[in-house]
Amino acid sequence: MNKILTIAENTFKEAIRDKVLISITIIGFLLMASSEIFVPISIGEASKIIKDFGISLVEIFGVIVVIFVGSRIFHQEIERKTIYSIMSKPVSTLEFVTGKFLGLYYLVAVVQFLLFTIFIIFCKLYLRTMDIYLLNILYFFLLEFLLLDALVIFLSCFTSPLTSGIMALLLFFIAHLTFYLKSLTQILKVPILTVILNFLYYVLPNFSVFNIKATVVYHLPITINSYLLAFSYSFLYSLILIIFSSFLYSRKEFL
Amino acid sequence: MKRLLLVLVLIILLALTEKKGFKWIPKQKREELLYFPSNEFVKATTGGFDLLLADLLWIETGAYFGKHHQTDNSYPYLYHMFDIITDLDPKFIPVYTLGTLLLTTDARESDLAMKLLDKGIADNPKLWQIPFTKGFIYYIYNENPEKASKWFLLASYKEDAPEIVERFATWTLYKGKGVELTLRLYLRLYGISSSEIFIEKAIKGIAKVLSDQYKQFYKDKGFYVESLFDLYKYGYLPFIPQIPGGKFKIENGKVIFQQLQ
Repeated sequence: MNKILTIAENTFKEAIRDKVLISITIIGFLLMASSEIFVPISIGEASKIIKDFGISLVEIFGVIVVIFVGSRIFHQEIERKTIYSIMSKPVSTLEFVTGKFLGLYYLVAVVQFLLFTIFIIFCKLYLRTMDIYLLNILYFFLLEFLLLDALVIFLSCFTSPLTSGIMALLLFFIAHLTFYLKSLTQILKVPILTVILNFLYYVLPNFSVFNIKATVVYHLPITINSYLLAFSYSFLYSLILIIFSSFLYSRKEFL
Repeated sequence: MKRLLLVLVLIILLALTEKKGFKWIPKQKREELLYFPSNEFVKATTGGFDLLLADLLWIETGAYFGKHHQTDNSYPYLYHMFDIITDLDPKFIPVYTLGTLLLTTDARESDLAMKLLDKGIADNPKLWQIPFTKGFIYYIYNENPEKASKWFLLASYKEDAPEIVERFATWTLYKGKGVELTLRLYLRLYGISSSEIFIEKAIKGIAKVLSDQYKQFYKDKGFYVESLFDLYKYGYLPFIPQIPGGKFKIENGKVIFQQLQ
């Protein structure tokens, strides 16, 4: 466990030094600060628009950080040749991959807390209200990014940084569409297609589980089932991906 | 081998979670249009950012309306825009209320306005504002007090509906209440949204009722009154409508709304 935490800590420290990360956070801050421009053009709906915009920005920048940092996470080790010193130590691939995964997750969580705090401050400044209910979204975002983090790590194990970045981004969008696969099976009613679509529906990640933005903005009740499903789904799926990633990584040639 | 076994156990657990848990995800409506380049298609391509896209389209619709309001007064895409916004965000209430008002008064598309309201009622069955707007449109623009009464009554059954909504249901059927009811309806409309367009519509509506009564008084008595209070005194107004931030008054033979500095 100590080895995993050490790798995670190093991954976090390396990533936090990255100028790109600071730039992303500053851009996020500036965009949130600029959300006041919506007030005069929102046709009386400034409150809703500022909340939607802020929540979306927190999510978008979370996705950017996970994909941008995550897709280069293994490649950087090879580039700097630090992988040889790590692998020469008694560290298993599972520990190494898990350490990288946790390090990246730690980073995303910090960025998320930071952006969310900025968002809440601007909400208070522009709307003169402190909407505590919005905090619920953070729980779902953190679980969404846990799964996205695992996906990026998994993709980085067998592709180049650019390919894994593009694939992860596409998967993020596909994961929001998975829900429609079930609808297609009901419409098409072709047995072979139904089997394929059903297979894809259960195998591809389904991010609808984490999408409660409308529920939070409109203050609708969130059921305990939603909390439980988001947690168990994200946790189990990520665990499977990390184990698969360690399998794939152990087959890399430099070992 | 141990890892393989662990993965297998985890996959079984995940499959169980999916089988059991995916049922809890709220069902999407109008699924039959899924593979057409329709509004539903737009929702499927947002990558989970439905609300953000709905907001941007709402702002775009405002610009579209403003542009045509100042030029040709023709709004061929107004309904389509509202339709897409409400597909992306079915709980965006001002799109139904303000949208319907714009479709009725400016675009003169009463049927589409009603269609939009029906969609809003289906998507938000617990809200009073949408059936209230339907009653409002029936009473003020379609001059159908029976139907208006029915929708006001329906609105009054909803949770959080103000007490006055129930009274509107009765008043609509009582002819003598015409002026009072219209004024009260506009005042209620004023309170529904903070949108400037909504407020402007309500103020214009009240000013028109006052102006009509002012002219009616002249027809009946042969001379003009000097103030709204005189109209009230002679029984031509049930009350003088008050709106925060300004007041209605008669100036140079016209009813105007003067904003307070």
